[in-house]
Amino acid sequence: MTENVRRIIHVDMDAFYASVEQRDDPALRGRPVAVGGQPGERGVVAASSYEARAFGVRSAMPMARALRLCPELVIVRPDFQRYRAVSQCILEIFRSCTPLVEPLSLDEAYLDVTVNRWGEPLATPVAKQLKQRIREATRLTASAGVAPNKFLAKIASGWHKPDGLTVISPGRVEAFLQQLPVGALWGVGPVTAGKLRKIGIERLVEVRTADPDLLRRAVGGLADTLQRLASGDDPRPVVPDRPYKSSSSENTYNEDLLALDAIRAEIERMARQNAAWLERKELLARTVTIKVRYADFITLTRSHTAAAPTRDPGEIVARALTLLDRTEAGRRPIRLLGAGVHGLAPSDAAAGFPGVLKFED
Amino acid sequence: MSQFLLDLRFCVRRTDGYVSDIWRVSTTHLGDFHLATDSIAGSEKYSFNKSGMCRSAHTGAEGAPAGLRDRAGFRWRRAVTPPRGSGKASRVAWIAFPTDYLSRPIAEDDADIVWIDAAPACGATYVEIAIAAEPEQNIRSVVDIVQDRTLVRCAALPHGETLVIFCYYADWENKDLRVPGHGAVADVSFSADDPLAAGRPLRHRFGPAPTDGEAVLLLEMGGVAVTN
Repeated sequence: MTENVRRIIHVDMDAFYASVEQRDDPALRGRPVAVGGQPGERGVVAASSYEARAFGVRSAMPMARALRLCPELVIVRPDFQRYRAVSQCILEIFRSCTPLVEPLSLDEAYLDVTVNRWGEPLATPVAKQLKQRIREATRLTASAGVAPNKFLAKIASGWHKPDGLTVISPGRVEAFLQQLPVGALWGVGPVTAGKLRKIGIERLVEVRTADPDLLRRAVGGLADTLQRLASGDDPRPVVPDRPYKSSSSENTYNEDLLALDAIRAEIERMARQNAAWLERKELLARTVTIKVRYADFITLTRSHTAAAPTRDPGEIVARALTLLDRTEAGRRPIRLLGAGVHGLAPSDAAAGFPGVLKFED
Repeated sequence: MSQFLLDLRFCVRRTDGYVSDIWRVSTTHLGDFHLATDSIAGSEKYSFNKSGMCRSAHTGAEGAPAGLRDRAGFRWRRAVTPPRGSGKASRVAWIAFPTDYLSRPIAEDDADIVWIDAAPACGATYVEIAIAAEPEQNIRSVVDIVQDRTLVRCAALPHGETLVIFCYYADWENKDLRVPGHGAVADVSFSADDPLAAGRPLRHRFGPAPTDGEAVLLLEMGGVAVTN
């Protein structure tokens, strides 16, 4: 007849890294703060305080641009050890309520509180109590979204920030969805949003009635998921201890790289890091990816998928360097390089795969 | 013979006695059914014809209430009932009763009313009405395994469909409202805190006009007239 009502909370810490810095250094309070690398080192903004956001400073923005927007900006180097410690404390609060906690990063997580250890029949009092406990334990604020599924809960947590609490009741889902742009859909980044706009889809609800073939041509295999989400339907469960999906590293260089030897050395170093990570996690990877951003900010990725997963450093390095040959490295100046591994499998998945190679852009 | 096959009255009630308006669900020998409650403009009624046509109206004991030239509200066509064996029902109406906006009772308990326990604070009780092509026995067995829904009543309709009324609890964000009277009448304040301790004597329903295929979606809240 009808599905069970789930009670999902998405908690998102407000400007987490910057708030930790402002909490620990009174001199930073009330001032525009950006956590990240120095502009002279081509650093990017990892997080910004609300005072900085008022000037338009946003995450992932080059620090030099952030400084142009806000000359008073105070730049703080990230201290991930401290952020991890605070995050751990917050996770313990979550787990005191429910074992169904799915961390997405250091500063956000989903909780399924349909049944919870606090004995609360509804999620709203749970969310209020979580926010209060976080504030008491860390002197930081969080915003929470309460909804029947993960997709809606995540949108709700961003609805009123900072220190917000937004509840989407079953009867209000449709009215909520009607307000959203297509970019609010899970899995739709700026590029996909652009593709959808090209076929005339601006609002989230317009995805529902889009021609399935047209939609599939625009966004490929994501089409069915988007149509389901656009109806507010998201059956994804909250998965604690979600398995790793990938690992990658990247670096923006103070000076553009042009010498091919130096570029190859950097890719090799990162690929070896990826292999070492696979070794530590006792995993294998089928896909090796590299990322290249030229000095003019044009960015491309190249990936190579093998049927047989591996964590052999030599093989991963060789594949990454082969992918590098498919770029203009050595002919165009490069400001950023990255390498990663995807398509992970446990160590015992190696046997029995033929060595078929398939290249994908 | 009674005019109605089913004539059910229900009311949502908090443990401290605060209540919703009393609602009535009735089914006729023709296969139509109605959902109604009293309001300041007479009786507020939603009619669901066997053909699938639906309409809302304000009615009184002697026809349209004074001041209402046209008693009809809006018309729409309800969703087609899913076929028998599909395991699905078609929702035709749902009403949300936020717990923190229930009203102090003004009448004595009535033994003929089905009392529905209200959700805890910060919650809402949803009463849903659906139509299924399944026999009552199948519906009861399904509702038994849907743990968070409580079956209020099942009633067979003459043409083989079944009317199902059930309720469940959901989270509710308590957002106070103030409906302006624009100087002609007093504003009405809908507040979870009830700062005037008036008991929210004015109960009102909010909801969009359904379009074809949609269910009636209503939010019922209690408020009080305020002059400033």
